[in-house]
Amino acid sequence: MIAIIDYDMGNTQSVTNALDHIGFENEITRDPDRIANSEKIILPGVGAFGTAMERLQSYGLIGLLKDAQRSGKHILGICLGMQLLGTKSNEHGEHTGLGFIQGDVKKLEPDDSALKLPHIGWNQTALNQESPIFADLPDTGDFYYVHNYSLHCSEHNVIATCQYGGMIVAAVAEDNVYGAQFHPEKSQDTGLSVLKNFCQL
Amino acid sequence: MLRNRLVLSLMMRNDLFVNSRQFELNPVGNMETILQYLHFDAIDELVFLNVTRESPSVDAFANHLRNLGRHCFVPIAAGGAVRTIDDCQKLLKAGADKIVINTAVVEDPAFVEQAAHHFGSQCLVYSMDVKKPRRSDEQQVYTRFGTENTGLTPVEMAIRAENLGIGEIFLTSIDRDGTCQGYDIALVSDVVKAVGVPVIASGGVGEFKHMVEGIRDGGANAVSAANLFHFIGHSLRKAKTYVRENGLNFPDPLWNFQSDHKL
Repeated sequence: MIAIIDYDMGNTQSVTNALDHIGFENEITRDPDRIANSEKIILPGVGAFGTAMERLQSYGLIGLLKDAQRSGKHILGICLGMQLLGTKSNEHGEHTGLGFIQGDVKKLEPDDSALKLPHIGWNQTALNQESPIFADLPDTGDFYYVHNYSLHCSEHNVIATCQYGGMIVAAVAEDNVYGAQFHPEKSQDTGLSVLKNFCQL
Repeated sequence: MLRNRLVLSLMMRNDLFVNSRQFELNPVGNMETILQYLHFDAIDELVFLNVTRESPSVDAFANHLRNLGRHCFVPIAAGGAVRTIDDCQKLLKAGADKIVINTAVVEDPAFVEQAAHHFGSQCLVYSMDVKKPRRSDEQQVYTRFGTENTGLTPVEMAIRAENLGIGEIFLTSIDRDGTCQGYDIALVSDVVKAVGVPVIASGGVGEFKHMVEGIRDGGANAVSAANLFHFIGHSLRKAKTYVRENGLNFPDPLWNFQSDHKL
């Protein structure tokens, strides 16, 4: 069973719809036992970084996620969920993240003033095909983004990038932990293929 | 590179989908007919609106959204009668990715600020309805399904909404809505130039070339069509082929069909 973390900060239904569609048993939960017994964890997220960390804290989920990360369980953070994997964020003040990926979350600053913010829409994304979550995908694909902030991290963690007035880290990996700034659950078949690859790790 | 988006807007009144002409609504089918005839794999984004005018229920609409979301793997912006953080939560939990707010942006700016702080501006879409009042030369923003004039111009209201923390504007010309005359390009262009957030042009598409005009001449980031026949059968592939042949940067009409074998 794949646990989709329920902390009142996400489009959890979209993730469960996608997993149901590609045929992987899943559950939206914040129950410590269900999470501890799950095979994999997906951390979705829509909202502000600070509020999200407070929610994870108040539901007692931070320790559980850290245990899961140490135990080698596969974790996928989506959008804000990927940003939470980082060390810290400066969205409305400074906030500490889960620290699974060394890196800071910062506001997007496209170098072309004609570009609108938030970065919303389908963007061509360059994929590192050696990453197992991009297995059998072409080297570029269209994925859906909707965000104002992004994770800045070491190159060795970066497995996908896109361009929006500069380079944006589109996906990251560190051992058993993965993150996608785009929404694989909302990126048609290309996105569902990424989710399928993650579920099959 | 970021693509332009082809958006389908679906409106629901109680349990029926409706088409709109200058905000007069006509039923076109129920959830079953929509799921049978629409090809969601051929659109880039869905705007799903509750246009129930008498006692709209966020809960009842959320149930329809939950049902729709099981068949639709593109982003869904949902709204209609959204007044509280709890309303937003209900829609996000039911499968919305973004929340659409209209009247509350004018009537309850404190709520919009609170929602932007809680969910982030990228989650909030302002649905702005515009028309020219009788005996006036200037277009103005209307609320409550186009019945109440705010006395504000579209540019004034767009800037106000952006300052409140709205992350995107879904801009509808009531005068063009359902007329098939094309978008109000001057309106789109004025709003696009006034704000730093993306703008979705809505109201008036009758031919594919209108979509090209919305992007090329209006400067919109996305173009919406509500008239359902645009999206039934193969017409959407044709629409995408058309806009791409006109040099615009839309997702490939076939890209989402080619990867079928991987699933």
